Amino acid sequence: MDITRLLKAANDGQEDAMEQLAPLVYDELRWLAHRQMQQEYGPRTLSTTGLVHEAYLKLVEGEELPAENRGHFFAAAARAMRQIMVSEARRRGAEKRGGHAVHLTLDSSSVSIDELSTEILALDQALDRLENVDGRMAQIVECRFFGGLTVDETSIAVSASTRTVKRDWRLARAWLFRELNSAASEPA
Amino acid sequence: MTDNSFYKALKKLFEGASSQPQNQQDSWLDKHCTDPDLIREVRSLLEADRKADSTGAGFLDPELARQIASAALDSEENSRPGDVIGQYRIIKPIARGGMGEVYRAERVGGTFEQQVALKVTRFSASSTHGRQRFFDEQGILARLEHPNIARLIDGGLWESPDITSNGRPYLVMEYVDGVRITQYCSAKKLDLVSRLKLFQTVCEAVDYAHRNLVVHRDLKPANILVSIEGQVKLLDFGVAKLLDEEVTGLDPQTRLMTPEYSAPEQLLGRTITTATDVYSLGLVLYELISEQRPFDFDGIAPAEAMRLITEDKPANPSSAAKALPWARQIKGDLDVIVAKALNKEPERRYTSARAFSDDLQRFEKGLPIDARPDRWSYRTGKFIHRNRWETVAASLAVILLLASTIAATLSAHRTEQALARAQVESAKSQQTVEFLSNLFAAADPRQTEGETVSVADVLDRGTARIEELANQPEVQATLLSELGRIHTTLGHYDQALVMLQRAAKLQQETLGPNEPALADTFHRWSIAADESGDLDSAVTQARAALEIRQVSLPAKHPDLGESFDRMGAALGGLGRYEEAEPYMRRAVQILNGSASEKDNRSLTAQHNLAWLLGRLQRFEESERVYREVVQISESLQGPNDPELLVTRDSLAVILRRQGKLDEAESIYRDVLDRRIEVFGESHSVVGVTRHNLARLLAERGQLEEARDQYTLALSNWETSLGSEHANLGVGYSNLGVVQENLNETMAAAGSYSKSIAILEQHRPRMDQRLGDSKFRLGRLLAGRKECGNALPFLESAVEIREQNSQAANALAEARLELAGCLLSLDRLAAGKTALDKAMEQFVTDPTAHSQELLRIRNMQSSLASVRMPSAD
Repeated sequence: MDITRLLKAANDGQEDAMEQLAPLVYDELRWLAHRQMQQEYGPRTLSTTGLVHEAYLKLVEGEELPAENRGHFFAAAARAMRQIMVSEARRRGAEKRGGHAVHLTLDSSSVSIDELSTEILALDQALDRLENVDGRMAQIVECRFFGGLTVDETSIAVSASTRTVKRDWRLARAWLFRELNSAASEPA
Repeated sequence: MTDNSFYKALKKLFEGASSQPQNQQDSWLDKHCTDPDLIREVRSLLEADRKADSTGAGFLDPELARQIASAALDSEENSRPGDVIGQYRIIKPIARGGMGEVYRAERVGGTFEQQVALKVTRFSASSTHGRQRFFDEQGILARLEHPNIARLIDGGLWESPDITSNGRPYLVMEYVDGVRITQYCSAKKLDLVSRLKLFQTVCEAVDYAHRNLVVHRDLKPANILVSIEGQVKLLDFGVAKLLDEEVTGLDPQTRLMTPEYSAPEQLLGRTITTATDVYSLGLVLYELISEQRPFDFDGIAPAEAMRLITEDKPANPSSAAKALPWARQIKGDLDVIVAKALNKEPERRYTSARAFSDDLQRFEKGLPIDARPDRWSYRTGKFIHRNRWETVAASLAVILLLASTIAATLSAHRTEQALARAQVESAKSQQTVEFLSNLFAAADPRQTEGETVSVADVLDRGTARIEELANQPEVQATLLSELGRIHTTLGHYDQALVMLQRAAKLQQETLGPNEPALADTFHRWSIAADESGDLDSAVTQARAALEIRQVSLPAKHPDLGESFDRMGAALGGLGRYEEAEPYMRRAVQILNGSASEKDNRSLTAQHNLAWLLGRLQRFEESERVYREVVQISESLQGPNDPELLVTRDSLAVILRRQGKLDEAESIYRDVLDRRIEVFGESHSVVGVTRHNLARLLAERGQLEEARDQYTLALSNWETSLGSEHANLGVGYSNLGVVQENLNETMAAAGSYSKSIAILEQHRPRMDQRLGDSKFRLGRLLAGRKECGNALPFLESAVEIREQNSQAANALAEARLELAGCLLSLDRLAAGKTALDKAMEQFVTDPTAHSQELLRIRNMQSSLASVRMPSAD
């Protein structure tokens, strides 16, 4: 696969390499996700982090890559997972439903999937705004939340220390919570 | 962008404050910051932080993302159903491969149900040029209309809402509800004929596309489906090209997900042509008839897979098909057909899918096939290290090309000098080959393969060049003559004969009658004629060469010796042994005196003399000469020298004739192994050794192995020499005898008939071996009480044997059978004459068997009993 070369190019700072990488990772994840969900037996819950790792192994075909290349993959995978969830939400027509307070907590799993979809879209938009404030914080949210990555993996993906990742994650979460709940009733 | 330093400070303050207990956060902040805006912001975020944690199990817990994703994806059983791409709504996914995903879909708002296969690639058409190409190619494909090709209905670029991309190409194709052709055949347990029929349909569809200038590029069982109604449908025709690197901007290597079905040129990144499809068809046929794949890629590294595909010859399908009922049936011809399609060099495969299919049809009808076992499937680079014959041929070919290039620019006179120089250079053959082939490669703009130019390539281009030299007939003739010789070495007798004949004509017109160059051409022509089985012509041309050389060369010139040898060999081939002997003796005399020890013409002449002595039944003399040749040749060339093996094979024949069976058998088996090693199983010389070994085994009473070796020899010759070659006439006759002894009478009769049909085309009417076959068939038929049928064969056998003095005993034997037949048919007078003549021989012959005498008595008494009533 071309992907190892793309990862290396991304590591050399080639912007377009990351752009080419994204759809490949996206497709792979999407496929794996659907396959996971279509299995007749086993848990009906997706393992996002498992998916990312599976996609990684599949795409680099077992090749041993330096940590920083793997980091680019993680970043691309987390972005892809975000896109998958957002596009599912859009497909459900979640955009048309009016805003309400966004919880996005495990408690809200009792809420219908349609409502959760609306919340995901709101989060997506808030994340875009956060990106304008601080790109790395937005990326860390992508990795931790959408990609299911650990702190260590996230630190590789965004090229920052684990301490920075922990701090920024907590700050970003607070920022997003305020963003989503204060102006919650108005569509962004 | 927001102010950088503001957020830098904010992060620090947030981190510091949030690590404090909640009731001390305010005072901590006041101590560390004086900016009221900043303090307000941090306070607000700290409050949000607290709330986020207090709302149940945690805001933005990754577990939540998993649950949302799961719920979203799980709520529909399949991916993307409901999505609309172009005018088509996705129903369900069918497959996913390296290129993208395939869905079953239906037309939106269609008035009736029209299901289609929708292929969405995972790549985007990256450039304007790529998009243009995509639409151009699509237009070409849409014009393919064939009942066995899944139609391309529509296509476009899909602006997926999910991700930022420049539009992913999608194709809408006829939806085929079927299974892979391989699955279909094994599930339905189809027999060989039905499989071939099905495959020929595939060939026809491919041929149709090729004639419309579309190459599939990715033919494999997954793309060849058979519907429930049994209709073949080829999928994805030309799609690989449609989505190639020019469209998607991707490196072609990216797409090589399944090397199993790739042709060598695809892996090597060379030009893809219709021959690439022929290769893939070969793989499919292989799988259909053997239920195996030619290469096993399980658990091997890509580099190894690449080597397998580009260098290794797969096992014959017949040996892969051992477990199938038709394994024996496909051995030989079908093996050769598949091997031709799978040739590593595209230009040596079938020229079209139709030619491929036609050859299969010939196979089915039992007609001789076009394909010949391939001795040249490797590139020159490899062969140089393997076999000196080929090296010589290759270097000559290249020299020819150089010469013809020079010829195009220089005057005829200077060309001859250049040619002479080039021939001197040929001594350094290997260097020359490399140097010249590079030179030639550089001179030819179409040439992209550089160092890997094949011998076949060189020959073809050499031939083309020759036609450009029409205004220089002398040069043209020289080149034709050389090329004719090379084609003979390669076994392309038809081409060789055409070229040599043309060369001789041109030389006669331009050079006058006694030129050495003309003699060379006649000499080569004689060899080509001899090897192709036209023995009369071989003598005529040999004589023409000899006559010229006798007047134009000094008496001890090795070329003159060579001509005597050729003349002797040609006469010997016709069975005119006594006539041949003086020529042969003269050849040995001249060459032993004039040629250096290493000149193998001297050894050749001695070998031929030994052979002739054997034919003249002078076995001890023959054995002595053979052993001499073996000894010299082995010390000069080593044990695997092809010509040494010829001599050892012949020596074994003489040993057998003298009853030295153990030594003969061990020589045959050793020669057989070495020949297979040197030439490969399908070369005609392997057939020769098998044939000779079989004859020995028959003599030793090992009839079943004898029959099997004969059968192998014959099927080898049928493919290597063509089904009308004289060797087959002899071989079938010998096989018949063994079959008779094994009580396989019907098979024996068939073998004799084939032998007679073949020998009648080649041998003179009075040839001893033709007489043998006729006698054997006649005797067999008479034994089955089919005397009417037997009669013409026996009459003819008697006539032939009357002409061959050394067969006196055999003649009596034939007369006896004839007599028996005539008597059974109540042709009493003729019967009695034959009987009396047979009697005459047998009573004077002390070696006559008592059985035969007994038969004569019985016939005489029955003749008498028939006569008595008629005398009444």
